[in-house]
Amino acid sequence: MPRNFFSQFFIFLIIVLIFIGLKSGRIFDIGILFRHYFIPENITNRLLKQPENLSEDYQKLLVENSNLKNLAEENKQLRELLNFKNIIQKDLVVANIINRDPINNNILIINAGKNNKVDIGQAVIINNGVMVGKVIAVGDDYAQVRLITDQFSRLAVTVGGEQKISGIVTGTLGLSLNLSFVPQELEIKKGDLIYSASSDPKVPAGLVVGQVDEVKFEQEDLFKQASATTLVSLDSLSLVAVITGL
Amino acid sequence: MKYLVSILLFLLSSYFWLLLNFFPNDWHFSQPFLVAILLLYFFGDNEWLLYSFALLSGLLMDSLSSIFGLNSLCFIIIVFILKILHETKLTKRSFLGTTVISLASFFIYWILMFLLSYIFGHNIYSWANLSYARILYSALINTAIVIVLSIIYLNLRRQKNEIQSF
Repeated sequence: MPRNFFSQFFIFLIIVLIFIGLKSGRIFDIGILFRHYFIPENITNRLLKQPENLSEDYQKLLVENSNLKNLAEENKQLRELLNFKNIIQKDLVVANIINRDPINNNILIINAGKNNKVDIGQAVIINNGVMVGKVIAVGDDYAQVRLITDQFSRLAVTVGGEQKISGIVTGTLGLSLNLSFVPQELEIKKGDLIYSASSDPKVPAGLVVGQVDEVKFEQEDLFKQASATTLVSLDSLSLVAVITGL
Repeated sequence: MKYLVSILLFLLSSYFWLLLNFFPNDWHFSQPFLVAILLLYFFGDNEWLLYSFALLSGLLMDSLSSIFGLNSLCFIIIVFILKILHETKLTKRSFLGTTVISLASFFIYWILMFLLSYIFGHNIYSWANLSYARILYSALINTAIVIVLSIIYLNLRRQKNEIQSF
């Protein structure tokens, strides 16, 4: 067998091994040469450096995100109100809350008034027909709304679904509701829903007002009393609707 | 001219293999190089050229492969084994010799791939998905390509010689 066979084979074998060593960086990291000559240092620094206007863009995106969230929430509320309008078949006037009374925080000022057929005593609701208050004063393009949690608020209600237990809901310093004048012999319990009664001609019956929380009952009292809570937080209202079609 | 024809034959075999779509990775592309090395081995007389071609084609495959050096080592060892076989009774000029050497080289390729992967502990190739039937088929296809292209090449050369003889 010629000697040339082995010499050629070993020469090429060594070449392959050198290439493998160079590629794996065991002999010399050949990539350093390429990185040094073909990728200038300032490009690397520029890539590693944080962009200058990142913070400003982030702030803009935050604002945009916040606006979009508000729009999405408003859209949801409007859709629910539209849905509710179709259910009750009454006219609704959608209004934004533009201010709160500086002295009494439970009085809202909304941007709809006589021009929108808003009248005193009409019910103010939010999404899905949850009643939050009544109109107490009306201007041409504004109205004042007293929340049901206000201490001067009075509303005839019924408790429970089938029994139709009547009572009066009053506000307690803007914090919660107080259900009173419930006859002794009738049973109410925690969790019962409170609906608006049909006695008020400007408030449609069946609007959800709140939920019974704790029942207070003593033998010598003529009527039962109960504390109740609203189903939604009335501190963060932004969009309401007035039922005007009555 | 001879090398130009070799390159054309290689391109033809590459195209043929690309149509087949036999293996899921770079094995698929290394087969035409094997065919080309064999053709160069049968018709070339310059051993340095053969080794250089094996090295370059191996490096090209390695640059596309995830394991650098595996194909280069395989190709060079195959050339070395073929050169040893050439010294035995398996002469390269006969049809039977061409077939046997082609088949042997393709099986050697797979044995080397398995062996080198096992020695260096590469876990990149999924050998479990590779059936022996595919290896056999690929070896048969490659051998057929080598024989067909050999016949074409020999006919072309003979025609050229006949023209020159006039």
